[in-house]
Amino acid sequence: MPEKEKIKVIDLYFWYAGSDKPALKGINMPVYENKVTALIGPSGCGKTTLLRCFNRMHDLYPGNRYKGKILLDGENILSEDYDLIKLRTKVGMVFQKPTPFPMSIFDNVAYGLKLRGIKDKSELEGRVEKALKQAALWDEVKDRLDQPATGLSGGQQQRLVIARALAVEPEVLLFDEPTSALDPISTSKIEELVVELRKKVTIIIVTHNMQQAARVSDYTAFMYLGELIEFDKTDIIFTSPSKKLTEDYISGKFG
Amino acid sequence: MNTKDIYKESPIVKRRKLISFFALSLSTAAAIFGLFWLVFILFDVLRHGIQGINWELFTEDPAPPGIPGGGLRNAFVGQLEIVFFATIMGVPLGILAGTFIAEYARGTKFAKTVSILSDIMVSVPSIVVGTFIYAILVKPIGHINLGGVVAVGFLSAIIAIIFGGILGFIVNKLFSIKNPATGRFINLLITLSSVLFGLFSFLYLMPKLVDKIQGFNGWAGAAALAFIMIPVVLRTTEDMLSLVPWTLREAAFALGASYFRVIKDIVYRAAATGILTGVILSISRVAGETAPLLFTSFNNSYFTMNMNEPIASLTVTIFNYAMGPYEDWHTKAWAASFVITFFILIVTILSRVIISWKYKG
Repeated sequence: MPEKEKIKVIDLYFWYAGSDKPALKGINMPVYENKVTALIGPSGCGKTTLLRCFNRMHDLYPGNRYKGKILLDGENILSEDYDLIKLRTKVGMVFQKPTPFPMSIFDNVAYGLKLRGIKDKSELEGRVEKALKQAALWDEVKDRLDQPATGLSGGQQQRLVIARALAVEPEVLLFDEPTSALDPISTSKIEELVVELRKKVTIIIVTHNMQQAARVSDYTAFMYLGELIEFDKTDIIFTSPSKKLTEDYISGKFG
Repeated sequence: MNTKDIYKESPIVKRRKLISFFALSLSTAAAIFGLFWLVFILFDVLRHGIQGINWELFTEDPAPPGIPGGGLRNAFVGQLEIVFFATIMGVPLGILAGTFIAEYARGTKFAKTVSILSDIMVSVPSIVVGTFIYAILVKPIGHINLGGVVAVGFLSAIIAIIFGGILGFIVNKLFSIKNPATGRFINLLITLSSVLFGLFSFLYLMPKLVDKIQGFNGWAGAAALAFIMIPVVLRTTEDMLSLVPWTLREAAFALGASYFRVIKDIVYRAAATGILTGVILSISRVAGETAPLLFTSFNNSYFTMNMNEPIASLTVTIFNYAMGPYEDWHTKAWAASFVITFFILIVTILSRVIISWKYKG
């Protein structure tokens, strides 16, 4: 069955403010719908930089520049007219460290919904419950929804943040090393979640951990020094990569 | 001899211990010296002040000079009124300006300049602020009632800001502008029209209101106190907002929040206790100020709630009564000092309690 391209990156360059050297050099890659795409590579290779292009997080800091195109359902999200709020409604993000807002568990999950103007209490309750169930957190927090989210453990906070992102029903979800601050048990819970979630959303995940990429992803992009070296199905990348550099990295010769 | 004994005997260690003991004794002595005077002052205020505390102090106005009895109701009410209006003027301005510096103008030269200037303003002697407000709000120049003009100008500026805000809101609701260049142009148009609106309301209100405020008045006192509060609140707000981690803002942006919503819902909430503490500390700072009120709200031996007139305040009353010739006045000055010290003490404790709430979760 041919897979549908949800996102297409075309000849993407990116410069950080005040730097002449591009941090991303001519990236071309597809992201397939309802699949998990992993971005791997050594530190400083530009994988997080690329990830943050997909919801234009770089726009928060003046002076950053893009060149090229990123098509989301055929529309170029890098164009000046593309509404950032609309983009971030479609493309959610989960960060490296858990970022619970200073409010109750319920309000955290409901925040994105409230931003979209949903005020009806029963609808909010229904959607919050659904999102928390999807993030496999419901059973742990259902009796203390009104308590501050900062009281949860690190792993629970990260699942709360995932629930918050899921509540607004995004089409794409970006994960920026979501388990690097977590213990092994919490990590495996998040990984199970990622595999489960791809039925509903398209997922792009940045990871330092190659085993993690192998476990959760369908496609893998290997990046090095701002360039995309190789993009293919995950099992191909990990068993028979076509580039020497990829093979060296996968086999642990550098990194 | 085991190692422990060598350590004990060593002359270097002995010398170090001696120096350490000496330094410790010095700093303890200095701390005790400082504390002694603090306790002495507080105790003296308490000892003298408690004698003058009675029900009449709060319920009656001053008796004619030299005649015992009466109270300081006028000063208590005046003080509360002046501090209240100073808070209304100073706190929102300080918080908004602090937000601008820490968020919208973050990292710019302008932001850094304002931040340094307000640091300087914090340490400007308060009598200078009083003189400044006297010069612009109280003293008439020739036939021009400058205070009235400034007050009407201030009012018109607020009207213009509200007008611009409402206009911007309506335009934003009616058309969704995506192109940043068009957005900037429309922004400029809105700004210009609100400036024009402000000018027209200034010209319209001038002849109607200008003579309402003349000479010493309560508003000038409140303005002088507000002037002292603004930099304090501005700097605390700026510091507190800068402490909120950027990842938290990014997380809110990533959910599709506008910058305004990010600030209002996330950043303010995360920094709320800090900002509140700054506000409370600025209130306690101005509650004890005398100098800025001497030439602005002046004093009034009669009870008034009209801010357009000279109005009594506790601090100026203490100053006058303590300098006065009557024993009864001195008792009342002590009592007033006690009340004001007690008020500041309570406010400070309150801010400590609020901070400790934060760390409990």
